[in-house]
Amino acid sequence: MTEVAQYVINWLALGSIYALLALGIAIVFSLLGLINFAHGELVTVGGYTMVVLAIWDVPWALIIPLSIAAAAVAAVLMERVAYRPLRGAHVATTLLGSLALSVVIQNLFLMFAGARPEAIPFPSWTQDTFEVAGIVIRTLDVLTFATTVVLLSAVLLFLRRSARGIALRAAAENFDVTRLMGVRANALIRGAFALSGLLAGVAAFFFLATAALVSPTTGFVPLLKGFIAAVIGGLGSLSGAVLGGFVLAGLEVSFQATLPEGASPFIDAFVFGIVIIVLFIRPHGLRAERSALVERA
Amino acid sequence: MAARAFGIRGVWAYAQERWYLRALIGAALVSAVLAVVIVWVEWGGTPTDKRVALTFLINLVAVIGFQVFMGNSGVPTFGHVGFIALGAYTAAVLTTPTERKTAPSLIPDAPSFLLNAEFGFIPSLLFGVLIAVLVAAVAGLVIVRLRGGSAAIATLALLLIIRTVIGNWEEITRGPKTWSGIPEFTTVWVALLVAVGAIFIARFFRESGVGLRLRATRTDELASSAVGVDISRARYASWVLSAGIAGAAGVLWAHYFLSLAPQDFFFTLTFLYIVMVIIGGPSVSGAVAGAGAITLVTEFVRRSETGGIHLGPLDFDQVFGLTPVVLGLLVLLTVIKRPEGILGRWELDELLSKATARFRARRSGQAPGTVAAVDTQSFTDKDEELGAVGTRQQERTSSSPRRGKDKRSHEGGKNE
Repeated sequence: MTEVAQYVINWLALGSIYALLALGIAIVFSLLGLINFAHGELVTVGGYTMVVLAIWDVPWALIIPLSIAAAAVAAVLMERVAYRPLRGAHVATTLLGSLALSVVIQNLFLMFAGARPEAIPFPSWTQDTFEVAGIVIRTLDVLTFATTVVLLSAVLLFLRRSARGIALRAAAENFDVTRLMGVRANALIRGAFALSGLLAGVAAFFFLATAALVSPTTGFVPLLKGFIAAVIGGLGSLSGAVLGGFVLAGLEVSFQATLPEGASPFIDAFVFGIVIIVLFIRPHGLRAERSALVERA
Repeated sequence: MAARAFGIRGVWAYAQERWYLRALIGAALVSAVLAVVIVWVEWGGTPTDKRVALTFLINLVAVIGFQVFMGNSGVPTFGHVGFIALGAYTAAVLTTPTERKTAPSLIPDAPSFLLNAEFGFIPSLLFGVLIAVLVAAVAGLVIVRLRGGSAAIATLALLLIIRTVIGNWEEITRGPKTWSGIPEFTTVWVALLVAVGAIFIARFFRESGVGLRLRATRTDELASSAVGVDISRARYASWVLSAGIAGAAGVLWAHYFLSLAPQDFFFTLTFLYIVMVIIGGPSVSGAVAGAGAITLVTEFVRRSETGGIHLGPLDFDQVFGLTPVVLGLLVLLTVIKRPEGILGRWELDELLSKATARFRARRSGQAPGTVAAVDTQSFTDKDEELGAVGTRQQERTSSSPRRGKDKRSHEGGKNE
């Protein structure tokens, strides 16, 4: 029983991180039809910001908001530099453009920061654990889940209630008509990227806290998980992205729990195999919305 | 439009109307250019140049594998490096001497038929291609059903599956450890032969009915399915064929580098091949041009890298990561400024006939704008592929009683 509870906690914490990443990817996709390969690099940006600020002895109470802000600024810069000239291009073209951007950013980090992973001196409370009814719980896991719930509710409220949020959803439905209603396209897209970067920045803190290391290639795993989660959920569906994050984490944790010892290196293969089977049954993901059914040109 | 004229122009016009002749001439032209370059390097190049040329040929086969799927369907693929890995590891397992394989450090626990296999190059090539094709045939069932970005992400998932399996299956592949001791079969002439073969296969596929239908789906998915193209079927054919070519590239790779590690076949290599396809353009000639151009650029960067770079305050003795930065910027520039690559979407022979038509028009004093209308080839027609699909389907059914209906649907497709 305690073992099951342990796995459930792992699942919720891991699922939270995947959901944050997938939601960031889905927001940008739903608006622009752009699959942002450089989304993982936002996590890297967040990580290196933490390293630099920690060297300057900035307190963690400031480092966390600043690193999140850095990721958001990086996302807005990406849009301005690389994605604005690509606006309106075919989905395959923008995907390859973002892939190229991700490789460029990764290798700029390699050139200026070196290939060696840098240690991030996380505050000691991130490693704390406490015990409830015989179950050892990491404080960080609880915090991850709680933060995600609060953040997702805030994003939901923002999308449902605020004028900008409604404009964002309207633009995801039909960008041209939304512009005709007097919404400024550039501001809207900038806002979407900022939101996506913000989510990535929050995910970066929780993702990096476990290993406490950042290197130029750090972004690959979060990117991949975010992608797969977003695809499972149905690219372009925001609620689907969150769902996909928890489904993906659920698959990983349950394979970890049930597969025999010898098969553990193959977990990724099993998980991605299941993902492909899910897509075979539902090619448009679990929560395909109508806008996602028609390929964006 | 029967070929009335004799001489070169008459033969050319006759060939243009038959897809297999068009493919034959086009592939022969590109192969001839390739062969001349390779012979020239072999004749007067330094050992480094020759090594670069041979690596280029292997990369070229891989890039043609990418092109057959990506160039014709317009769907980016990240999975083909997985097929290259399958080809390479199949070749390694089947050709490495039994004595080496049974050594405790390699794969002593593998099934005996694998341990006893000491194949030569031809069976190695056949089996490498076969394994890649089999895996592609299964994975393709899912991937061709997906549209848009999801298809690309699914190919990425496939690459990860293949990478995970090869990287952990210690009994057969030695897991994460490097595999060495593969016999050397890949000489420059073998590689050239395989590359030329790949060019012919790719060009014949491009010009064939299914290739034409696939290119129509690339131009416009909805319109092409409206004229009766089965998108999934066309994609499946190119997916399996391209995986076979990628498998062949893997076999060449194994018999040239002689040692393999699972991390060789991952994202860096995928990016390199995607860069080559993007820069060159979606045609077969484009793939060759892209592979050539990127080989030259990376060689240039590599050679200047070792000398160190001094840019004002920035002073690097050896710059790691400069090559990918340059490649990445090149791709960004290409997709922004020239999304269809160096050659547009044309083949070399098509560009030549466009150029000669323009030249003839200028000599006879016509305005260049009217060329497309009078020439037998109307390349400026944006919906060339869509129109051609409609025409061909109409031809095929023109003797049937439902002729009028077919004609209507064809016209509808063209106007789309």
